[in-house]
Amino acid sequence: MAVLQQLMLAVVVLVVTAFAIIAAVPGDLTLFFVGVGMVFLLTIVTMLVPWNTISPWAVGVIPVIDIAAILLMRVAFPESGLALLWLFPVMWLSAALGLAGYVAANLFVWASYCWVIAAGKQSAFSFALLLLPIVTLAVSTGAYLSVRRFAAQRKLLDKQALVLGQSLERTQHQEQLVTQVLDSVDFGVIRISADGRVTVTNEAHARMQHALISADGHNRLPAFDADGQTPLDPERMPVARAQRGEVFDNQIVWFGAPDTTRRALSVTARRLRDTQGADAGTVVISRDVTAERTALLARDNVVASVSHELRAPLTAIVGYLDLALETDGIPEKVRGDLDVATQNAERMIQILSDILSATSSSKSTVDVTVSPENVDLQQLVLASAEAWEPTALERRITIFTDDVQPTHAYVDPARMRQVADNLISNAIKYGREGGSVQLAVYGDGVASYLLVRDDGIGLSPDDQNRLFRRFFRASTDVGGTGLGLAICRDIVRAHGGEIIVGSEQGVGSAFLVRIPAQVDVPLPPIDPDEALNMSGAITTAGRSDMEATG
Amino acid sequence: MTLDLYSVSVMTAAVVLIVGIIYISETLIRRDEVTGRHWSIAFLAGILTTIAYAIWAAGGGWIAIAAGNAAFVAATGFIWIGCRSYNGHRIGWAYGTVGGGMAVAFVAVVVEGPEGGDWAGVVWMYAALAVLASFGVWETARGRLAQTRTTIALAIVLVIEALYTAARALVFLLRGPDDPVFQTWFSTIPASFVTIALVITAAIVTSILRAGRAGMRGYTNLVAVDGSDRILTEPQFRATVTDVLERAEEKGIGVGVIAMRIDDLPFIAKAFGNEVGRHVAVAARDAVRRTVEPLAVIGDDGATVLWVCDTSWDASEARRQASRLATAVFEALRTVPDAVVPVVGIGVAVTHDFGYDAGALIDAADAASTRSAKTGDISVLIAEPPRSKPPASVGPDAPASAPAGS
Repeated sequence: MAVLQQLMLAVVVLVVTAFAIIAAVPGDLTLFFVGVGMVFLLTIVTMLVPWNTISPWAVGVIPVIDIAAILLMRVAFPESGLALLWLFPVMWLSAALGLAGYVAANLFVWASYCWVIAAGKQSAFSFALLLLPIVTLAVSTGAYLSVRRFAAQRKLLDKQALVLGQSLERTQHQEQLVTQVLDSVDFGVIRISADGRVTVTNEAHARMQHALISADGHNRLPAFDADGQTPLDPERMPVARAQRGEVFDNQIVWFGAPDTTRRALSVTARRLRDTQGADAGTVVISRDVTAERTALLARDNVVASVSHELRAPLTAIVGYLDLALETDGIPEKVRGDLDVATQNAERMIQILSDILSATSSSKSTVDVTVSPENVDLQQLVLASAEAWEPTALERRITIFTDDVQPTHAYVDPARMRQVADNLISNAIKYGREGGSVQLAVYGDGVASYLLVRDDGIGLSPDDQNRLFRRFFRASTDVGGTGLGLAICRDIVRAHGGEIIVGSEQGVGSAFLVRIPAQVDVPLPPIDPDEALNMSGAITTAGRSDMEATG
Repeated sequence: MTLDLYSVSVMTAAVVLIVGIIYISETLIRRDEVTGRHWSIAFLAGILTTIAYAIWAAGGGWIAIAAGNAAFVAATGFIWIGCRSYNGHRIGWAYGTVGGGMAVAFVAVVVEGPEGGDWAGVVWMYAALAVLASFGVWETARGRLAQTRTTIALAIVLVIEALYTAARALVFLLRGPDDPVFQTWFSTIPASFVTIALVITAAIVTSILRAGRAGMRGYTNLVAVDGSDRILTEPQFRATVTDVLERAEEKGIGVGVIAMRIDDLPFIAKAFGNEVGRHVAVAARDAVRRTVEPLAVIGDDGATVLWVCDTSWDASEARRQASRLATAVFEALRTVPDAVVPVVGIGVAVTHDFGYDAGALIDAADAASTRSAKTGDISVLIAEPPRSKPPASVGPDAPASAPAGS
């Protein structure tokens, strides 16, 4: 810095000298030249001295000598106003050496100036006389203040940089940690920002994407819905849904055409909130559930074939029992025993056909055939309630049927009775001992409703999600195949209706069946929460709409 | 051709001033370097000589002649010292020698005093000049200066100066300044021509030599000319990457390019000075060089972008490398004194997404680095594959852009 400043002064002096020589200004050329020589010599010395390695105060020597050199030049040409050049060294002193330099520079210049004036033969008072010390003072004050301010700003900036650096370092380490963790887990993670852009993906995600590339290495395998058959629209793809801001749990997507090697992903999207609670985008988590899904299918196949194999001998047993019962002259005692055997064998056939109907195809839904007709739903439900009355009494449960209103529905009576029986028996099985089961039937002309509510143990949200899966059982203490609800839902859906469940643990559960009231009048879609609210089935009870995950 | 003394003096002064000022100005825009500094002093001394003689001609005292002669000696002396420092030789005693020569020239005039006239103590100056010019010739003939052909011109001029001043001294001693031989060949007018030739040649040669030594001041053009940091220039880098891609494609090897940009560099240079900006740039370059694989290709655009190209990279490996790079660069930048940590944008593009086209790959990495620098929250961005490639963009499950936390 000192070198640059001194070179600048040397150039100015050079120009002044050229002017003095060319214009032949009257004055003491020799004295003037001594001043010029001093400036140049000082410039050379400045260039040779390694300023960085010596005391910072040593730099102060340069402007001091400059002031002296300019003094000589000023004395050589009294009328020249060369003293103005003092502004350079005064500024440097004030800037480089702080307050001490500022005071010293001003004192030095003022003293030199007074001496020049006193020794000179100029008139005592003129503007120029007054101007120089004042300008020097003002300029040096400005330089001193701005340097001081700059130094303070610099100091603050350094501290800020330190603080910022530390927090940046922390952030970096955290970021690194998160990346490492994300990369080491085996489920795919994608973060979608609030504006729908994908901002973070992990390695597991990349691996999954890689696994979904077809054998030719270019195209992605086609995607199918949870049933493995229905092609999935691009806008129904999980990431597309998440990018639109949807939130969902465990959407199953199959990749690969049926009857080829395929993979199933279970994808969940959750909303993220920033510290202020504002939308911070979505995180999409995908798991490879191919093995799980394949195992489920295998189980279904085994169960189906075992049931099928058992049914033939059972049918034979029932047939021969019937023959035996028709034989004359068998003792009353034996007839009674044969009756019991027949009932149990028939019951077993019923169970086997339930199992078979639930597993009879590789599809997730049961192929239920229904023959709907106009049915008095009130009578149907009351009959079912009556049939279960003895069972309810065993557990001291009261069945309330006050809300079963005269209502018609367009359903298959046998199938609908199956549904009612199932729901009521479940309510009794899982209800509180000594509690109550409330039944309600009502309609609005378009849809008819059957509500079965108990005050039992209730269902956890997890259980609610799995409730309609085949072989799911909420409690292993209570007997059953875990097929009842799955079949119920399949029957109701075959009618174009829906079963909605609401439950709260410790309060009870409510099942609402919605079926068409008339022929050829399709049911409008309805929000499950709304339906449950209207039915009065839930107060604070949680709810879960069942995604077709079975 | 008739030349009058006054015109020749003015012309000589003009040449010395212009050449000197140009040379010294260049000192300011180039990086500080000891050889260039010595040569600058030589030209400064030349200017002082001109001023002194002009002052004398304008009626100044004999002290001007004394100072002028000493400065003349210094001009040649510092050319020699600059040559010594260029060759890496010790210069301590050379200062003494030149100082001694200056003192002799100065004292010789002082001794003759006010009555010495135009030619006071001139023989001593000629002697000092002849000796120092001879030293200069000797210095140009060895070391690294001898390996540079450019130096020949400087050597010739110094030989001429040595011989001419020696002859001048001899003729002056034997025949005196009024002798016709001296007047014809060694008076001020012919000497001025020699001076002009000397100044111009010296300026050209030393400029060329210095340009090879010291880059421009500031953060740009950091590629060390002597090859100490082997970072390629943009054309070199592009050519190398093209070659790498050509060979990698035949073998089906993945290649990636990382672009690292420090757009704040000009602001740092403005706010904290060019040297600080340079330190920041050098720290970043060093960090990159030390972090990437030894055989990786590194290049820069001469301003704020650095590129790294390496083979066997798929997207995740490139991301890992880039993350490592980001951390290393950040650590390096934190340690630069007197500077703030600038925003560093890092973008990555891989052949898997962009194919084996050097231009596309580098441009994609550049674009990603620009975006990375803008977003701020993520330091590494993987470049988006072009939208026109249908398979990759069909499934929403395969996000086109996969930036990574780093």
